[in-house]
Amino acid sequence: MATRVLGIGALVAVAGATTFALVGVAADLNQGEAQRIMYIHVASAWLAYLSFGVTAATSVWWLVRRDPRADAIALAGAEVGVLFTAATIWAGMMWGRPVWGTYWQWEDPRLTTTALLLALYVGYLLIRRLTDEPARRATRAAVVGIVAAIDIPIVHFSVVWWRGLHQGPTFMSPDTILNPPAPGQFVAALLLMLGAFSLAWLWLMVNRYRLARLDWEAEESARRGRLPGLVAAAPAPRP
Amino acid sequence: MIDPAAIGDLAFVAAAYTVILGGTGLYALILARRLRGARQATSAPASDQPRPSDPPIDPRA
Repeated sequence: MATRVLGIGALVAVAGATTFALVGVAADLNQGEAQRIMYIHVASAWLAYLSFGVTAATSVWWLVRRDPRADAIALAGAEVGVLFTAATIWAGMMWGRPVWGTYWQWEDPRLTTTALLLALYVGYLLIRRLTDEPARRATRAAVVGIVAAIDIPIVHFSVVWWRGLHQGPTFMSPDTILNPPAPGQFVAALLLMLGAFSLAWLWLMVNRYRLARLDWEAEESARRGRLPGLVAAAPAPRP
Repeated sequence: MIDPAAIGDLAFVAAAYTVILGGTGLYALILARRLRGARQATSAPASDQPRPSDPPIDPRA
């Protein structure tokens, strides 16, 4: 019931935030209408970071405690993170063509490291399919999930460390969050989109986690059913 | 009144939002469907698995 309320709330919030971003906010003086893509691009990027951060943290949790819930959250984070990373790249390309004059540039460190991040977590999901044994699969995936997370700060700070087409980070310090250089309505649209997408992210995470737990239980019960010891343990009738 | 010069930019805005919102919505629908299927599979007794009321299996048989 709570998840249903969350889902409906997320749907309404995303619809409201999208309407506000598309028709409620003025177009940017320099970038024109294309600037509206920024709201969905930045929101997607932050949720991609969050998703992979959750995957890395719960991967550590799995390696330490061997808790199946940790593996289920890690899987949910990776899958939802791949969705939002793909959304980030797509929105960035749609913004780049009218503003930069190109969809993509491999020389840009932010673009390339983000593409690498997507590839790493697609790899994480593929590695999970290599074995049917839940514990072994969770351990292998956890190692990949932790190693792949090294790319998250590289993506974020790539615009600071190296020069490229991409502009500086939107949120770099508490000062820029409290005193944003952009007009108030632009910031409001961005925060609204971020809040709405966060609700959608939470709904997706909860449901993907539940599905992962059900899959784990089904696999475990199927494995137990196949073990010959369990059948032989049944009391045999006396001759 | 839409500025004719902005129509090209609006096409990119529409493409960005449609694909992302459509893709996320599609993923949510697939997820909900898979979750419903998994719940049904978990609650329904498997036909090839022994039920609690079944007699014990003789491994020598």
